Amino acid sequence: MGEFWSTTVLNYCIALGVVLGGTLLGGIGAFFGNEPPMDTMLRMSEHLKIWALVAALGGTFDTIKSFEVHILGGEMSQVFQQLIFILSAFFGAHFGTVLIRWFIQGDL
Amino acid sequence: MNRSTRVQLLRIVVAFLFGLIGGLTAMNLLYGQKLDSLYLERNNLYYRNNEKYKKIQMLEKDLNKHHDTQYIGQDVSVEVELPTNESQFYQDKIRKEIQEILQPFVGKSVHWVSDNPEVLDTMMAKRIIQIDQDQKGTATSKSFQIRLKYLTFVGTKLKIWVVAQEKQKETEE
Repeated sequence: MGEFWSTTVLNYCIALGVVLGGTLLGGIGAFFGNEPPMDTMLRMSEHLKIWALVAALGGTFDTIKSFEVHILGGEMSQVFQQLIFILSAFFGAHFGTVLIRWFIQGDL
Repeated sequence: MNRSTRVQLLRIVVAFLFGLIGGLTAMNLLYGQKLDSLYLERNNLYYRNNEKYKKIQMLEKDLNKHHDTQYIGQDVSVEVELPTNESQFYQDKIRKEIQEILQPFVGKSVHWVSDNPEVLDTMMAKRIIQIDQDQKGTATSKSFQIRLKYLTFVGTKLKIWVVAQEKQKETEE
């Protein structure tokens, strides 16, 4: 597997892990904090989505800077790669949210 | 304790912590729905309890409004309006008679009487007051039909205005 695909899968898994891990541990926190755990988990999964994306990409600033460098350098394939990374992270985060919603509400 | 043993111990501790977190998560996922429904029910009960409490407070306030009653005092003031051609000496006698009639109202709640003034009116309606001739001869024997005109409360003091009309005696042949 090339570096591109491994990074894509890594981004996907990081985003998924951030959402799932954050939500599940947040549920434990909600339990200890006298709050309804499932409802808190549902809300948290939505809130964590964007942060999962950011965490998977290693900070928005780096990505934006690489966009700038590659566009100005005329390396459009690199820009496309970055877009794929962002998309994979987004799908990972979204899949995590969908899984949590499915688990709690029983429907997608 | 050598390094490898320490690392081994640390691994066990971390594994235990992972297990703890895993167990907590599993329990949370298993019983989360039940907990959520319990929290929901609790909030619902809080809300209903709050509503009931507000209602009780409102009723208490309402009850207190009726309960902070003042009672009608002994000094019932009666103003008698007689026809202009009638001797004003009858006034005192009629006043005394009316004060006698109003005795059952003394000690009753001001609110109760002010809320039901028709009771007083019914007591007065078509009542005949017989005034006998006094020893001085200032008043001759007469009958008066009285009618309640006004009724007011000054604090706990009941004050009424009464119109007295002479009732003609039925002459017997």
